[in-house]
Amino acid sequence: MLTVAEPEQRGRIVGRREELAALAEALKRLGSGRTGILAISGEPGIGKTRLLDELAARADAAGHLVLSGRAAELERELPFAVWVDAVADYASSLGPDRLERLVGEQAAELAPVVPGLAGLDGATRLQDERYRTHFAVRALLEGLGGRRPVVVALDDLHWADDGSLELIAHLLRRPPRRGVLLALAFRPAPPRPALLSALGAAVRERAVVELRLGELSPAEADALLGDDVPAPARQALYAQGGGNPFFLQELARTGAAAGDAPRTADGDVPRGVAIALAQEVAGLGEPAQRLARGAAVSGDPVDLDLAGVAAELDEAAALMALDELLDAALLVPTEVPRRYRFRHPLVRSAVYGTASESWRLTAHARLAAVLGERGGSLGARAHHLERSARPGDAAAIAVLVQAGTEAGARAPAAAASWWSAALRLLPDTVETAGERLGLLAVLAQAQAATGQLERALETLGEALARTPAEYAPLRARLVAACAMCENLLGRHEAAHARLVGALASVDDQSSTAAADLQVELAADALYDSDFEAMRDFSQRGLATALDHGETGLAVVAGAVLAFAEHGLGRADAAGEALEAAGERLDSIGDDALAGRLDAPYYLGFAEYFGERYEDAIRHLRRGIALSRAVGQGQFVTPMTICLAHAYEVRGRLRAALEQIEAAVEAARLSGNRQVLCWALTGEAWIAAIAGELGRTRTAGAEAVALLDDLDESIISRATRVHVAAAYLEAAEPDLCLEAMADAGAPDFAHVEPGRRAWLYSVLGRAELARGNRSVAEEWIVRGEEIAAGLGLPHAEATARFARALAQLEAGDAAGAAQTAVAATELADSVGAATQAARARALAGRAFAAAGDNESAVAWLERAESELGACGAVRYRDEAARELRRLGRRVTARRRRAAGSSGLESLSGREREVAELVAQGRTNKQIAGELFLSEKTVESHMAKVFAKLGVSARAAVAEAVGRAASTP
Amino acid sequence: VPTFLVSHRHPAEECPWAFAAWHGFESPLRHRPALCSCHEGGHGLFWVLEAEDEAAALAQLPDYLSRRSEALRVRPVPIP
Repeated sequence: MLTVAEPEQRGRIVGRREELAALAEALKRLGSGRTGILAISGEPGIGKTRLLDELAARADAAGHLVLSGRAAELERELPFAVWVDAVADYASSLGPDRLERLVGEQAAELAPVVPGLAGLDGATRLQDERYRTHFAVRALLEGLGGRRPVVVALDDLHWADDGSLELIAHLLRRPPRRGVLLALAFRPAPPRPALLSALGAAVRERAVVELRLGELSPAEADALLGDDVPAPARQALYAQGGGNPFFLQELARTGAAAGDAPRTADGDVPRGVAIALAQEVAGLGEPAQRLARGAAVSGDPVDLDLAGVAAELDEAAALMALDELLDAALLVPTEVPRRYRFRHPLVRSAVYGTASESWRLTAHARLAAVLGERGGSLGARAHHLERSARPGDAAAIAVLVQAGTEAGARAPAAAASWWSAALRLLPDTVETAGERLGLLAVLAQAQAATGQLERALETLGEALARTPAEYAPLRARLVAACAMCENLLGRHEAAHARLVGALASVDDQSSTAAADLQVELAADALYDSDFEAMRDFSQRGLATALDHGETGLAVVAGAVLAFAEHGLGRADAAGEALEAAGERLDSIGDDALAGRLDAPYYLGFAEYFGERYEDAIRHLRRGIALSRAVGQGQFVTPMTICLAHAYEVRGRLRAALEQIEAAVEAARLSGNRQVLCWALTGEAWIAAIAGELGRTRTAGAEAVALLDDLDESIISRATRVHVAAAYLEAAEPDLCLEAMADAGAPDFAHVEPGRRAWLYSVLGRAELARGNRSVAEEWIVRGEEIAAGLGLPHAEATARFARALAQLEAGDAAGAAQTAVAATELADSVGAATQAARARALAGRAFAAAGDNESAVAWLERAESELGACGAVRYRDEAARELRRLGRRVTARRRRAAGSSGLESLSGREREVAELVAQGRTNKQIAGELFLSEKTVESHMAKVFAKLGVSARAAVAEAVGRAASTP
Repeated sequence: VPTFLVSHRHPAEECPWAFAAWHGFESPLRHRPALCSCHEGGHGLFWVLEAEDEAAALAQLPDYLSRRSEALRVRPVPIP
């Protein structure tokens, strides 16, 4: 809610000269279109709110848009509450159409912070994708900031819910690009790690102005109290209230300083202040006291009608009581009629404390009932029911479950709190056993989604203990989930032991439950790169799954088997396993696949490593779309990471960057360091290929730093080598070699042969870059030896690429040209477009060195055009430089022409739409699949038509078909 | 300059929107009192203002309010 107080309501501000100067400077910067962040911290009553009010008033006077919100002590579980308070009313007044114009296709993702507005439909429903709401709010602020400067003032963040803090952390990491000042006020203790760590990082980046408010000096306190308070009394007040403005004013209000209560902390306030507040409430008439207590229970801000219900006062009595509370300034009006706030949150807390527990309980019950009758929000009803419902109250349980379900996708912490409350109320009987198991399952999922893996493990353990032995398949899934939590906690041995123990306890080793555990053990072996064990377990699991007609499980087993075969260097066997698994996956309908979303996950990865990039893209996209449709997000982030890598190989760097950015955000929110490490590694690599070298260094450094807290596993090893390779692409060969040494060079035990060949080529190129030709030669030979006979053309192309470079350095230009051309053919044969284009550029350089300028120009022009179309800016510029050296002009227009026509000119989303059009989907179907509105799809189609220069869907399909058939 | 009586109405549940909409909106009507029936459940806001024409009168209101308002040209008359 917006609360720009009128000057007389705000009161005088005393002291704070430096802070006011900082506000003025921040507003000046904002006025020139820059974004800023203010962090205002200090003890309760020290004046944080007053300073925020001052900022809001000055910004409003300057014609800026001010959005103010406050977190509330007693409603800490309400999802996005501080953002709802700040944004909802204003955004609602704009309406869904204007929001869509401001935010674009992400508008639907605003629904959690604009809960009362109809027309925001089509958002995804995955906990793992709640960063989408963060992106949407950022886009909204940027959209609003583009029209006029915006101040977002958020108060009392020490009480904010986790969903609100996640959003703030996102904005601290990625502040809106222009025109937004984010002002955050909070108490430093007790600390909220999510807020403080994000702020700490922003402070290190020097992106934040910190204002730590201290006590007023005696002279300032004198000025604050004014001449109405005699000088001796002012001194006594200072002795008792210190330089805390709120305490001083409270003590002065009731003359409590005349007493001799010591300045001892009593909760948040000194005892003298607590006594003063209690006296103030006690001095009110009985109806006013009741209304005040009703207000304290009903919420913040205070809805007069609800406060009256809680207090059991009729309208006339409530209005009379209200007048008394307003006269005493216990409540203050807001700009919305019949809506008030307490003078200070400490006043609300003190009033709440004057009500007995039994009175509060019945007041919450009255509020829950009336909100039910009036169609109040599920969250508000759940809040009051959680505090008042009796065990076994089926209606209350239903509301809590429903509220959790509604909040689950975007605020899993709030959902977990309500599901836990529902479990407490649910009777422990045979009849409710199924419902309890269902609740335990979703609770564990929400806990895992917010990084509370220990709690998730406990919850799963309870579910497992309550699952009878005859439900073996369910027990197997629960065991697998427990093992996954343990693996994510770095307890690989415990996970392995759990799976082995569970498999041993299955009576029928040819049952589907056994097959499930065998496949889990196969995947578990991947952590240790134990390819023999992987093959053994996956073959057993595959045979059993096929015997039982469990096609989804057979896909998982086949995909893991393919990994194992690759690891063992048996490309043919891997290819056969992939072929069969791919056919099986394509034969399964969505309904069946929804129960086995690990199938597209494992298969997509196996296909990526098997260099079947388009198959990988197709299966991963299907897996992601289906996960969204059924609300199961467990595998979405890993699938997104793999999809980004596949796009990079295929030369679709813009789409790759979009996907990897989403994966990084999702991984951050999950609290899962392994997955975050993995996603950041992908970001470092893809950014390097795209020429964003600063991003490569930042993401790479963060990924490597995360490894300090992780066990050694396939993920830690993969992180080190990929970050090292990214450093080479970022022209840092020394860093690359250093990181490679940490990553297990020269042997790279546990790395499968395909990637080992690539790594040796990277090492060879790094040594070449340092001028160590003889050392480079050794690495390159090793890479070539491994790549030969692997049956992985892309891996072989990277080895040839390094060889061609070495030949060129050694002066064998003709040989280098020949080798580079061979590399292009190998890369082209599997559609590795980025690698092929880079090899073409190298071929061009080699032809030029050999004196064949005509061939050189032809190869370089093609390379320059392709690299530009891919989005590999730095490599494109290198090719352009070579062309200029050969006397060819490379104009910006030609470059634009190369990069701005055809499918390459489409954004990631437009390309997705175009591909779905090529598959014969209607706009409505596309809207459903991509979770967009039909209007947004139409808008994308208009851009696709314009960029491709066509006017019919058939022509779009033709363009997509042409691109797919071009390797 | 002509005088207009601008009458605005909104549904009860949208009451907060009608006030939030003013933020960041430049208008001579801001930070001045207006007649309001929201406290009494009427959910209307009323202004007497001067403007060149009806459109100019409504332009003094944010979009949310102007779309739900009518501007009636009025003039003072002596009441017998």
